[in-house]
Amino acid sequence: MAAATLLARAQSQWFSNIRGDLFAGIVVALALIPEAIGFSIVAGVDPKVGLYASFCIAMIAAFAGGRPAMISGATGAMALLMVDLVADHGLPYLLAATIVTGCLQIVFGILKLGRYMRFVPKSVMVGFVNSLAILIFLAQLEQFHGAHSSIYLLVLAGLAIIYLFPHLTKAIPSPLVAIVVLTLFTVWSGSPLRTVGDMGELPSMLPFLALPQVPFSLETLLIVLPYALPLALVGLIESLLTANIVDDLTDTGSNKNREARGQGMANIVSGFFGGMAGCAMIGQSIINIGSGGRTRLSTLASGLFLLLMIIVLGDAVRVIPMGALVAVMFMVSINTFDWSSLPGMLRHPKSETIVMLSTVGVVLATHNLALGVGVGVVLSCVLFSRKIAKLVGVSSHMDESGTTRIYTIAGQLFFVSIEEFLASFDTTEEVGAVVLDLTHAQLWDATSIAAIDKLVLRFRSAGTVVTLRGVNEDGKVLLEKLALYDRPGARLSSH
Amino acid sequence: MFARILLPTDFSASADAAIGLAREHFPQADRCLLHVLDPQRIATSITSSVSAREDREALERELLARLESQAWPGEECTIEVGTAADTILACAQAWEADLIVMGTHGRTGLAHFLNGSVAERVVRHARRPVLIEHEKRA
Repeated sequence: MAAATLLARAQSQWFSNIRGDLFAGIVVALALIPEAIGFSIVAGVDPKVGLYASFCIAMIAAFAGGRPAMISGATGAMALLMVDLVADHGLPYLLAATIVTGCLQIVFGILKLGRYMRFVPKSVMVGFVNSLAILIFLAQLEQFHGAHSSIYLLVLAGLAIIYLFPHLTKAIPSPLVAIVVLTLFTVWSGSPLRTVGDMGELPSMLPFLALPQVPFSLETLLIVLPYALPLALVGLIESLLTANIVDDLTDTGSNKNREARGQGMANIVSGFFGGMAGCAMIGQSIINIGSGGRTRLSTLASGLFLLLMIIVLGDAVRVIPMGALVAVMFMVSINTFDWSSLPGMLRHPKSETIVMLSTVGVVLATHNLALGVGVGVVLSCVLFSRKIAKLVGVSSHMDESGTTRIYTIAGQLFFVSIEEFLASFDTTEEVGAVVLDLTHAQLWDATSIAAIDKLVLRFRSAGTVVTLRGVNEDGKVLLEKLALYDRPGARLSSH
Repeated sequence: MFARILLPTDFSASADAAIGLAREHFPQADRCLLHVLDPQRIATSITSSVSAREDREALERELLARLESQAWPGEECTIEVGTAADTILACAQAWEADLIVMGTHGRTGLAHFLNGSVAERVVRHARRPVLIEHEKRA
């Protein structure tokens, strides 16, 4: 590529909106701090693991991602998938799983799996974000166990600040205001409530490169792979969903396969630098766009400012009460939930509501977002093919001579629609001849050809002459290859 | 004489005044009313993250209707998504406008530093004449 084109592209992807991007980067970094800590706690690791992850992922995604101005970091969807791994095997295995996750995502990106996102219908996406919201909410309830009852007041005060402060000004993110105010209050009042410092180690320096302390054996791979695969899939689903949202908000395009590879590289780097696996963040990306971020610079700035603030503010972060963090996580949960899907349940086709609720149900039962999406996609396909199958119509009339019955067949003939299709013929009627007019029908598969076979042979066994009419080119090819009714010895088989 | 005039509007008093000015002085010219929808505004008003596109399109339709309600017969109306100044400049180029007529708010202080003035940026980068109507006069 010519140097001039490269330069022009760098200018538009990095430096076309410097002031807006830097400002948005600061806002996002401030909003990231509580989330990165909160999701670390959800996963059961030290806050520094989530903070290092958010820093590394933001840095790499800024350069390698396919969607400028999208924010990536440690996320709830990913944190929820790693809980068991951390509990059973500890942090080193999480880091190894993170690296494997990244490798898988790069492979998916090279295989261009991004295009298969089309197969994830909107109702499954709504189910995905709704169950994610519910899980984030439920994960917070643990903080109330055995805590001093004043934590309820703290959380309520936090939520009040988060939702009321924006009426005063939107220049400072209100979750941050809530954290600062509540931290000052608990420090001043000498509250006995648990703080972030009680939850584990915070970063005091830059992350450094280190190999995860695990044996490099097949056994290790077999331990981490069952976690890395859903992590890789969920990471890509949420990242590509977020990329779509940013595309839609800004009315611009993005490179989905590059994004998949970028997410992979980001996770590999995160794992080597002591961070957990992450992906794109829906809420943060919307905050970024809403604060004026437009280019890759905003993503980079969010990561840089995050680390800078953590290192400078380390001691202050330690005394943040967990109640304030729970309030922020409740807000994340409320913002993630697709509230318009509730009234939408009355308007949308019943099948889509069933898909959405099934996705939510499976996720809540298994705590595995990948499984929920899988079930949702399969269910959508089943319900869709059933719907298409219902569109098959067969009508008939006698021609002028009164000796030939003409069946007009319309719709899609395939494995789902065959049963009803066959039931619409009366093969015992005593007419000299029948015509099957397939002008408005499409033959799709071997099952539909087998049905035609069965039909023709049934008519013939009653002594009726059968003619097929109006079969289109695709149908003719299938008939020539598979149809048996004109082959010698063709008989009605039992099935 | 100017034949194709682009009229960016944010529906403010000064924008209305600028449109009035153009109609008064260039009655024969082709005029195009443009409103730029900032993604920032969509991001803060979306109700469902999954349906961001529907939300944006609904907002676009609403704004287009508003724009059309104030257009005179024969005037074109366009809604574009993007950063105000850059989108105005790109639109002027694409529509081959030979004049841009727009209003300015005269923001000062911090608001000016953070947001700058759209008109200021348009004047600085437009490769065609720009006529600015000031709010104070309007």
